[in-house]
Amino acid sequence: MNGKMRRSVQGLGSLSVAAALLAACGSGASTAAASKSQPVTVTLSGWTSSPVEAQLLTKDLQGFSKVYPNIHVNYQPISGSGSNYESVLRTRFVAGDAPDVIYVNNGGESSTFMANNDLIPLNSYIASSHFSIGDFYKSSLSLFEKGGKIYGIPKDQSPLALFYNTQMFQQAGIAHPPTTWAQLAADAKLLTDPAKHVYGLINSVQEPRWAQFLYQAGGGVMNSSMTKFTLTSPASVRGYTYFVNLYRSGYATVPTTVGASWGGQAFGMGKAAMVLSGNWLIPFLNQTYPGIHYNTAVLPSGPVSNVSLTFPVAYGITRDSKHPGAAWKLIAYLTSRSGMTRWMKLGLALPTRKSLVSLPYYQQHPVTKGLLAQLPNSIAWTFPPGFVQFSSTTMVDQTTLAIEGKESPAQALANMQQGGQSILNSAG
Amino acid sequence: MRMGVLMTAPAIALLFLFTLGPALYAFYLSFFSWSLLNRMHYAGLSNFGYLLTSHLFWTAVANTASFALVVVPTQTMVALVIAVLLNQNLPARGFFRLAFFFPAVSSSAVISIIFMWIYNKFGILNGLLATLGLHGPNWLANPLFALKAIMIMNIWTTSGYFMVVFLSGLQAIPQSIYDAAEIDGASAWQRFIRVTVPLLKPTTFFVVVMGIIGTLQMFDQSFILSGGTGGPLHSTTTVVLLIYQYIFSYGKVGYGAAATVILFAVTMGVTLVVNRWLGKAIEY
Repeated sequence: MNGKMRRSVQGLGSLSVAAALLAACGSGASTAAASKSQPVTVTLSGWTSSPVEAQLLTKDLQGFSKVYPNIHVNYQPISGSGSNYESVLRTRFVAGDAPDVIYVNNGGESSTFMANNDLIPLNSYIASSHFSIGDFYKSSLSLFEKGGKIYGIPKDQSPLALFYNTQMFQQAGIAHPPTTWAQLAADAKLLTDPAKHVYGLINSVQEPRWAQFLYQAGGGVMNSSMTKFTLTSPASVRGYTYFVNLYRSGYATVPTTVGASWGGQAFGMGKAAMVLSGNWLIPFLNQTYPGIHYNTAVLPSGPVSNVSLTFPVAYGITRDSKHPGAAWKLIAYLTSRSGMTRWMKLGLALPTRKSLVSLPYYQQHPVTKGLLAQLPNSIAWTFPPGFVQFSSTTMVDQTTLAIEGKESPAQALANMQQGGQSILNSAG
Repeated sequence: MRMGVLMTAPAIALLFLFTLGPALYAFYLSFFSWSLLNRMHYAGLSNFGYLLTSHLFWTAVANTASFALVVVPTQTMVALVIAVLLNQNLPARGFFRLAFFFPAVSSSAVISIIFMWIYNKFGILNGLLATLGLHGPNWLANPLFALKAIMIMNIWTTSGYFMVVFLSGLQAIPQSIYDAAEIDGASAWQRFIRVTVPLLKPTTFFVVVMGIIGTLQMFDQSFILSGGTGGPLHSTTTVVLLIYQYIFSYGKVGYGAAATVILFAVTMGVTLVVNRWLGKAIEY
């Protein structure tokens, strides 16, 4: 691990090292006093949305070692998807050897980790270090809060917005991105050309790609206190049916139809005119498909609203941490106002601090406009403990059957409602 | 005696620590309810009861059984035919032996990723089919074809290994028996069916048993080709993939351990049956 880190340090340009140094000096003045004790090592683990994320975080951590020379950060990214990351974390928890600081996901196992006290409450650290917790969006913070205790500091988030291929829109003579469901369907129809394997909209059928349609119709997956599933309400059925019909009528499809593994890739390949995605797609497109011309917009409005989903990710300290004080310093460094500003400028996600949405960075990067505009109008997405299997299999399977026409949308929702409600009841 | 025990002690200790110990622990866990993160509590036989009434478990059993029923006979026959061909004095024999054996020494993870691209809707396989005027399916995204795609890949991967096993078996058959059969007027086909196949029986036994154990425990190829989900629509969910999902993804260790015990019993039973059928050596 050490060797690996050293290599990447050498790989950095001298310019960025200087920038990190400068940034470090800025935030370090108030907190550097505590670093006189014995040198300690703090392990930091997270998944990586793409190799870019690991590179960027490694870069940001250089600055930390300048401010706290006695705290050595051992960054151990865990590759693979979010669920693979949490499987690895589980085994580390069983072995009593979890990393000190971890990424805490919005859905998945985060609620389980909190319920089992695998994460430690951060309230005392927040209070003693005068950390500006009030600046965070309530919606993001509340995902990592339970019974007044805060288990994670949201490091960033991204809502889903509409990414659209400006070149394809121009060629089809469409002047603006769609603002209503009717326009979305009409534009998608116009942009679809099955002979060229080009589709209006390409997204996989995981629930974070269709749940917003339910909310836009006035329905939802669960009630706000997450005690009841509401998938079969007339409004939910209406939203879901709209989504399913986009696929059934052939204007929308799943990524594998065009040989892609996810919607963002299909968009980069030029096979999708539109895709619902988050901020993470921007660095991916810049690196992998720099030739694609695109822009972002807020989601088209349904009968009730154009609300979207947002996915905050937090830093938490595990119960296995031997140096929670040093771990907190790392979290505070990364999520302080200046720390989050640095992270935002790397372009991977949007802030969880209200004060940062007006960063000059966003004026210089107008492509984020749609995402930023969507941010205040989005639901922080999560599930109660014990729903990993339900969301990763039942919801995907039922929606697959629905879009393939093997099951009516209402029937698919009824099956999900029954499955989900029985898990809720048994958890009682 | 004491010396012997002493000499084998390190191996026995390792066996207990890393193989028998965990296996016994799995039996123990199958009677408990545990999420890895909480306290475990005794659950009696309820884990088994849940599995035997679970639709998903029976889907996994059906997938695994059909996988074994297709793969084991096919790979055994393919391996035997290739071995017999490569046992002749063919030109470039060494090259062909290497080419067929190569997949067996490559990592199955690497092979799975290569096949993900081969099976891509616009991949090389569908490209070849298109030149024949056939419209290839979306192999890995279509529940009708996903498991069959993995079967094809698995047969290709393991046949080479079993070919080498058959080759060594072929070399052990004395030439004198073939000579005697030839003098008696046996044709090449008769020599294959009456001499080669029966005398290869110990090798065939080994190949079939290893094939059954390997296919009943198939995990990595399904895991990689389905992105860990066992999809589409559970068509590639094998018993071992389900065990992995229960224990590490869903936090239901008891279900996973109970499925492990059931898999152990089934594998053991099938192996015993095969042993009765093929296990006795033939003497001429």
